[in-house]
Amino acid sequence: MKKLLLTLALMSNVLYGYPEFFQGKLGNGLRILVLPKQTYPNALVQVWYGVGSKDEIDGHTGLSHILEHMMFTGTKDTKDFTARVDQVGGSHNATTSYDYTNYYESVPPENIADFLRLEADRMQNLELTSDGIKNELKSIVEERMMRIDNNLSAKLYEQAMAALHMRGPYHHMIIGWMSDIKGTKTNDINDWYKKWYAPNNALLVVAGPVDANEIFKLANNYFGSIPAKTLPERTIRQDIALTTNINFTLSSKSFAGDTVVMSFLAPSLVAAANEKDCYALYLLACILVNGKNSILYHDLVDAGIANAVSSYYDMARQYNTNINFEFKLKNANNKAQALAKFFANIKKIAKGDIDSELLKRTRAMITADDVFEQDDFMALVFSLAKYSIIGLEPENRFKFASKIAAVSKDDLKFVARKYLLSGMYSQQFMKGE
Amino acid sequence: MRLMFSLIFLVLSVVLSAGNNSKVWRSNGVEVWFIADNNLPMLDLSLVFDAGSIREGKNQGLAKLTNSMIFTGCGNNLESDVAKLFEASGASNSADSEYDFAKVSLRVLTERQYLEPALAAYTQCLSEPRFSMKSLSKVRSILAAKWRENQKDPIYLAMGNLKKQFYPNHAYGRFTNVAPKKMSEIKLESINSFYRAHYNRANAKLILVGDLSDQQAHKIADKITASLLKGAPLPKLPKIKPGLLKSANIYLPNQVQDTFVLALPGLAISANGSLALDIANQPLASGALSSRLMQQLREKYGFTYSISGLMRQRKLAGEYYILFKSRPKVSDKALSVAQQTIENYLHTGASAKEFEFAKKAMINEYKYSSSSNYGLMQDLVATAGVSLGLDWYQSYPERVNKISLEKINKVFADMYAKVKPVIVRVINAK
Repeated sequence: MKKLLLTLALMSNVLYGYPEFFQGKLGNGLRILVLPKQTYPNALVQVWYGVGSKDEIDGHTGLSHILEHMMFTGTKDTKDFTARVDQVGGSHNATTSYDYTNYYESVPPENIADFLRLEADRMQNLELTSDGIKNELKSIVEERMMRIDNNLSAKLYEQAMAALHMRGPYHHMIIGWMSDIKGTKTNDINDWYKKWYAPNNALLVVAGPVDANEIFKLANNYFGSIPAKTLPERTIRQDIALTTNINFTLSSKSFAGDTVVMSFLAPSLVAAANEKDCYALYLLACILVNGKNSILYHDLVDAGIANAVSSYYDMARQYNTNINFEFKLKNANNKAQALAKFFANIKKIAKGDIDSELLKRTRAMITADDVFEQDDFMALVFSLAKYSIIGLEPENRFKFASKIAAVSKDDLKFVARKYLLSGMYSQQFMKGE
Repeated sequence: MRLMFSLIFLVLSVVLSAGNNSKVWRSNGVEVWFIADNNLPMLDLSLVFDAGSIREGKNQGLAKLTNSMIFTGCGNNLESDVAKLFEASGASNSADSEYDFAKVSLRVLTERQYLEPALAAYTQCLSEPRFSMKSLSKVRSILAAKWRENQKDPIYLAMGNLKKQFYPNHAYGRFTNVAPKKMSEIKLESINSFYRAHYNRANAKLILVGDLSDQQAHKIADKITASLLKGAPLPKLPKIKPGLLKSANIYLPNQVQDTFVLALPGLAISANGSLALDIANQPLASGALSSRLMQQLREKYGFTYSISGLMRQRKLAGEYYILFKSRPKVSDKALSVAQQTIENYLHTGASAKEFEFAKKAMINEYKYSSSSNYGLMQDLVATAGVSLGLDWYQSYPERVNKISLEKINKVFADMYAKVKPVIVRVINAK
């Protein structure tokens, strides 16, 4: 055991005004993140694996998510993981993402050791049966129907992303294509589990009323003897620059109103040549759509062209991703006008025509939000763990506001040109009937 | 000057009770709840008014529309000016209206440079609102878009059908955001008078959660409450006459799953047995993998992804809903398994083990929810909004622990004994 404990380094990261956290690594490569918070009522125990839908190949999409479901079906020693959680009045769940899969429990602090043991057990001893998988696939089919097939907007978005990320790792939705889900075999899942579920591809997170030293000892006790594996080599599929814009238009009685979504390829913190681009793009999106004084709220909502404007951009991704702008139009005839206003404003920004007062207020909102977000301790823990699993130092999460503050008008000009004017986009237009 | 401030302070603030880090007092006649939390330099505050849709009478949508107009202008400030005042401080202001209450909230950093201008803007918006036709038109349009979106949501449609059956001719019988035609009939004068009658000291509670000293909290409370109109107490609400329930099918295009809502009348929030019902729902339909319905419908048969029970408990009445979706090929079987599982649960009742787990889970959920200012504020607003006290909220774990297994099984069986559940099913329109 001691031999494996090669690099258990206790690193404290105390940044001004932010919670203390500790990081370490076992000899088998398992990374550990501990966030003590003595006033928090429960202990949070999480295991994150560095595998997600980005690692799947065509014909086998959805495997990470299917395996996530199967991780609750038991091991030789623990047939019913959920029952263990119920016994202590805890709660638990798991999520699969593009870049990772995570498992988490919220339990009384006195039960931490039990759940470390259970997580260590299912990291190496999962028992998969054909009948179990056959049955679970039925509920996954239902989940896909509920999330995507029963929702035309989601279906259209799925296809638009497949076109925008034609070859990239975010080509398909996390849940996978329906035909792939239905065609999944027991061996596929077993192979996926054996390939990727290893301590050297995982991050253990423990947070709440805990002592970091104690947690490191417990982690070593339960996970230390699990052997590391040789992980498969990842072939990075780079996105292809589109040679033309792609327009999807769909009229349906399922749409209540008329909505247009513009999606552009965008950098991620991990993959960007210059991470500053991500912060600049984020700030750019904020001045465009955040709040009642944002540029597009004024030009589209106040002007009676749209009922709502919004954007979506998750920069904390492993590979280059996308940024979306959504306009809920007052009616379908406003589409051309809305897009004209959108691009006219992007061009203005690209020329440096940016209201300094708006920029100042937007930065103030982002700075305050950064503090507000720490109010939810569980969300904060997830956020730090996410940074860590995709290969970023967790403290980067706490530098967010200062990075935004460092974005200049020139940076905004640059990203407006580079990502929103120079590249192609996918446009989804949903027309209500 | 200092002495004068202290005297005013004594007159305005009457301490009602005190907890560990919580205090209750009256400020200008308004009950104030203050929970100190010094973890982060931030403050959440909400004014809760007896201004929900149960107060709108025949003016359907008036409560929602009035609430949505707050922050659209005040004093000499237009909507965008108001927004600028909050944005400059990084503050987040919001308003929302439910059946039993309406709230107007602020989240702000407690450093003076942010706190003071945001509080000044918040106070001005409540004391000098300026509702214009231009803003009304915009708000109507936004609410209409939301309403149209909801008409495409199968769960929303099923719930709407059930509400109408449960409470014909009552605000609980419709959603708070009503059809655009009804909204367009509401005049600006009605909004102004609804505001004056309901958004006032006589019908308000103020909740503060965050990084303030007692003295700061009193000062802020006094400033806010003093800015409100005095108002007068509202009349007592009449009892609800329940409607007759009937199962129904609703047809909606492009549905690849059938949506089911099984429903029957429950209990009002303050009724004896309401908490017992909540506990009784856990083993059957908490939504956790271990609940009996999940075990049967999802784990055993793979008929659904999720199934859960929702105990809706409001000031005057309550309902119980069980919701799930299933592919059409197996949906009849899924319904039958769900019904059989409920029957079995009624027959056996919750076991001692299920009961213990349910109580533990609920208390842990309470602890989790109250561990963040945001979660705590949500809970406190919901408590104040149905005219219950801070003590009632804080005694939740104790109240859960006091309830017996016999009690939860009895109230659950009684609920099912009164009326047969009705089923609303949303099916693909061919």
